[in-house]
Amino acid sequence: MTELCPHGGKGKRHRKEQAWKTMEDRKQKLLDIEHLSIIYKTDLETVYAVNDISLSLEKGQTLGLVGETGAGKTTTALAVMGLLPERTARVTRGKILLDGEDVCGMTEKELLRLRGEKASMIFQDPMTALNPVLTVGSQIGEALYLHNAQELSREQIEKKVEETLEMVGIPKERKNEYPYQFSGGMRQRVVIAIALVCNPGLLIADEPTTALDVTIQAQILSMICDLQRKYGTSVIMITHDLGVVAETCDMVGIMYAGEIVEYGTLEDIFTGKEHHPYTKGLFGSIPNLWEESDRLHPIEGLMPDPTLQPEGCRFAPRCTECGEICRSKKPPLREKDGHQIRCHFHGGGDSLSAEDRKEESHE
Amino acid sequence: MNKRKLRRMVQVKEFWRRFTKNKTAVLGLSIMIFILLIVIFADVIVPYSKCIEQAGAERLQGPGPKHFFGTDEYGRDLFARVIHGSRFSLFIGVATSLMALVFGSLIGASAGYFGGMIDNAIMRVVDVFMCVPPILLSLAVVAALGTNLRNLIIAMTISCIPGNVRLIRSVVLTVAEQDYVEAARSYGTGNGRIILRYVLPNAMGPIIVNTTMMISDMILSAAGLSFIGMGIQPPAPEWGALLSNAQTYLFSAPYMLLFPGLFIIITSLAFNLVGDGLTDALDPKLKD
Repeated sequence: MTELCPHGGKGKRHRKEQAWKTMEDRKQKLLDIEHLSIIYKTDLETVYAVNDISLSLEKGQTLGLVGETGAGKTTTALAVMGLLPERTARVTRGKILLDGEDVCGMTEKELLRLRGEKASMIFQDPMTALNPVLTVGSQIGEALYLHNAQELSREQIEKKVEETLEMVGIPKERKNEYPYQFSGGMRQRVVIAIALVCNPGLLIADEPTTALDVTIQAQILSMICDLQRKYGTSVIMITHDLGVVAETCDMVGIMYAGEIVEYGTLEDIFTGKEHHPYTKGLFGSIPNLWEESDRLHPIEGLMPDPTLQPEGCRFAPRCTECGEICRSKKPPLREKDGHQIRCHFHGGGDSLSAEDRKEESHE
Repeated sequence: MNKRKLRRMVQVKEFWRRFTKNKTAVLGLSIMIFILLIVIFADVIVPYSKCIEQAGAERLQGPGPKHFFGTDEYGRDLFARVIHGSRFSLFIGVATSLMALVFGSLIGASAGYFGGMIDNAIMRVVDVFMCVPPILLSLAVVAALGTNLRNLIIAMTISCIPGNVRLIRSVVLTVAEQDYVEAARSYGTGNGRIILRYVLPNAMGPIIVNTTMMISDMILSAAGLSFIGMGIQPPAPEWGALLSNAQTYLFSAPYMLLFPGLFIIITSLAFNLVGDGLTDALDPKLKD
């Protein structure tokens, strides 16, 4: 077992300067999602899973996507990998630029090259994410074998597999064992090893610790952070645990019903003054160490039916601050210093973003 | 490397322990081994020449010390014919089952894995084939291609591919939904590789069991085809052909029917018992 730093998040707390200004800047980013909308269409119904979200991620940064189940987090992640189910899912609008290339327009062949090499994914449940009939070593070697750009020989691949195993804290002697011989936490390490073996620029962690117990959670998270720092990987951390976000992320996007309702730096979200009512509700749903209260204050109600496209704000039916305008008009994304909030009443101070001003003057 | 071998051994041992807990399966396996020994050492037990050698003086002799199973209407030794017939019967059974396994796996796995149009196209063709009784289908193919061993195997393979495709597709459907298949896709594994390395190996349990069961079915239907004269042609001995031959002398020499029939029953019983045992031993849900 390797030494694990107990507070993996701490070291990277020094933030980079906010680079969130011009279009030229945005083109340099590793991942840039622009106005992405995804639907799942079946014969019976159309589910609006992701509605007009825009995101960007710099090299080496971690972006947290937070939200309830069904908010469209995983759909977004799958779209970035080009893994959406072909028969039902459609990208109706928008672009996903990964390293300057549009993922949505890629052929299957290009996608095969992208997956594993440029972007890879850690799945939620390590108990089911490994093939039970292959040894862990051969599963780690698989990605290397498939993306063998440097034309490594068999021995070199074996060696790299051993290195990668050691890197995630598993003795290399265990490479010939099968997944059933590993515990949940060890399997998640193997899954991470598979994801990182080709040194991808982007790592998507889809609730990597949800299926693990708390002690292992901390180990796995700090390991992801350590490795990220070591290799300069960008990470999208999908979670519904705000504690995980606080430990690991630079940027945070709060998702609700397929929209990003609030987006900003970790400080914006955790210590900023202005918040979307949903964000407030999320924080109200977790216990606070410094305030004594008998009860938590969860958000009343459920997520809206994703097959409907409401006219006003999607959060309106559950919102404590809901006004007349919220039911009839879709709120604009207000922005102040990169902190965006999609609400009629919050965010942006008095300065509306350029886009919104245009909209307003139009009316 | 040594450790790996050891671990394999442990797995095999565990499998063996669970298999041997089923006494009937062990009985089936012993019979199977016994018959395999007969197949391997047929020439040692009795030379092949003996089963085509005609002796007019010894026609239709009952079982006795000279001819253990008696003789047929040409005076050929039935013991020799049954012993050497096992080679044909088992070869046909195993060969057709394996071929049906390979083709059925590839076709069924593609249907289950890709789904949609490909699935629909494959399954409708399979449905058409399923409408024709298998024995009729093989008959038609043999009639079209001509009767010899190769064509017989082709015909019987074709007749049992559809059922295999169905079974394998249904198993693959559940396996293809597993997370590790999606995970494999997420690190860039192509579809062909996923089917061969991820989907099929994990679907192997039911497929292996089905194949052992199929071997006995195939021995029976080879016997059936030979019985109606469309299988192995005389003078080559095959169990079904022996039966077919025996029906003329059903009342005067019933032993001619008895021995080949007994061997057919015992062999297919053995394969079925082993198949049952495998089902239990390979089913992780029954682990205890």
